[in-house]
Amino acid sequence: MADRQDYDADLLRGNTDSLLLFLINERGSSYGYELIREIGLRSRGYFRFREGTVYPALRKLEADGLVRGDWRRAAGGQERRYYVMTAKGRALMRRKLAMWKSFSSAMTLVLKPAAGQG
Amino acid sequence: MRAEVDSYLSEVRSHLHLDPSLERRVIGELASHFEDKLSDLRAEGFGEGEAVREALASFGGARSIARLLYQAHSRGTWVETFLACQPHLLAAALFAAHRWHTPALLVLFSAAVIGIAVAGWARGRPAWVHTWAGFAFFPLLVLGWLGRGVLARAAAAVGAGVAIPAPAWQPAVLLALCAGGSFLLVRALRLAAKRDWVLAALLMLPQPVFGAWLLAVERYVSLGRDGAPLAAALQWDPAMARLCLLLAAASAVAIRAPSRLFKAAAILAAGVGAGSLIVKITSAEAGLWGLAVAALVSAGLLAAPALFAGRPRGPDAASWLR
Repeated sequence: MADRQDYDADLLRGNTDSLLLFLINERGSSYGYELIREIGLRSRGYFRFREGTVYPALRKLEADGLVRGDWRRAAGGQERRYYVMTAKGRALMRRKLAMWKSFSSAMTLVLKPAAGQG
Repeated sequence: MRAEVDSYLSEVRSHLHLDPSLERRVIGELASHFEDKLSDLRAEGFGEGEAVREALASFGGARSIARLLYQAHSRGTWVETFLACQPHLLAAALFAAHRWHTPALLVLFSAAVIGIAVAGWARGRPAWVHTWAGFAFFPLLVLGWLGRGVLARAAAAVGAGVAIPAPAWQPAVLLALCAGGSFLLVRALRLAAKRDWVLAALLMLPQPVFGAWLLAVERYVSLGRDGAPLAAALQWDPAMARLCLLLAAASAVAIRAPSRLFKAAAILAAGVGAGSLIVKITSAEAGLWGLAVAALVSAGLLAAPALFAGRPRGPDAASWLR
């Protein structure tokens, strides 16, 4: 995957909520650092956040009632703030994913060379 | 090197302007991130200094992170917005119904604003309570202003070495109330401004317009007497009701807007505008200079709490990372 960011930062900013909601839903519960690392791993280093911006995004999701945060003590004694999905968050995530899939399919269709022009 | 992370987290905190307990939780979460990040970087072979530099660089600027965190938390709910508007709406109702001079309603209004302000202040000072606190000080300020003649006569008697005119308890009680009220007002402004001077400005919001109105009422009519003088004061009631609605709208923006700039702009614009308008309405001879002075005094009253702003940094910085 690309070594450096070669996409418009606004594109990632506009989809940060979807990425976070999807991962929190998939993992059942997760914390900021784990989410950042997971996004980096799954995108093979393509998505590069200013890591600090993930926390305001998580706090905003919480303020909007889409996720719920609570402190838990890990086995090593370290306290972390874990986020879990709410019903409202799950509903929004499904809508956003459906919208993204439709958008992505339409983009692919438009960008595919027309028959006889390739 | 960990001192650099502590210093960074303290800088984030100094720009958060949130409730102190919420700030501790927010910074605690960021500190937990740095612990994980530094641990991973060391495992990758980074030296301590390199790891700290890399962790800080990937996190982003302290001010911009603090601004984003503030925006995520500063937007009050609709219930909080409703609560913040209530004292202005109650005052608007008193003026609209021409009932601000009814003693029973005034006592009820004063008791309600003082009671709710004290209860809210004691329960963690949510943002909405600052509008109630602004009105809670008004009865004391009015009492002090109206009783200034009694106080002046008592001071003159003490200065001349003669007995204070009877009843002597009046100036003593007035002095105690004024001193206590002023102490509480300054303390409330300091506490509010320490967190965010915009909240202190929200507390001061009713003062310019009500101060100018009170001066006008005192100048043109005799308080407490029925008849023509009172009717002259009542003619300003519709204007005062509308200005209270304007203050309620500004308070709603101050609670709901995500940006501090919008909050401050709404409070300053409404406070300065209402303070100038009431001078224009109540004083026919107020020219451009009069309005300019009214605007300046209003702006000064609203912006004065900024002098109390400034947040302690350092003492608890060492506790962010374990």
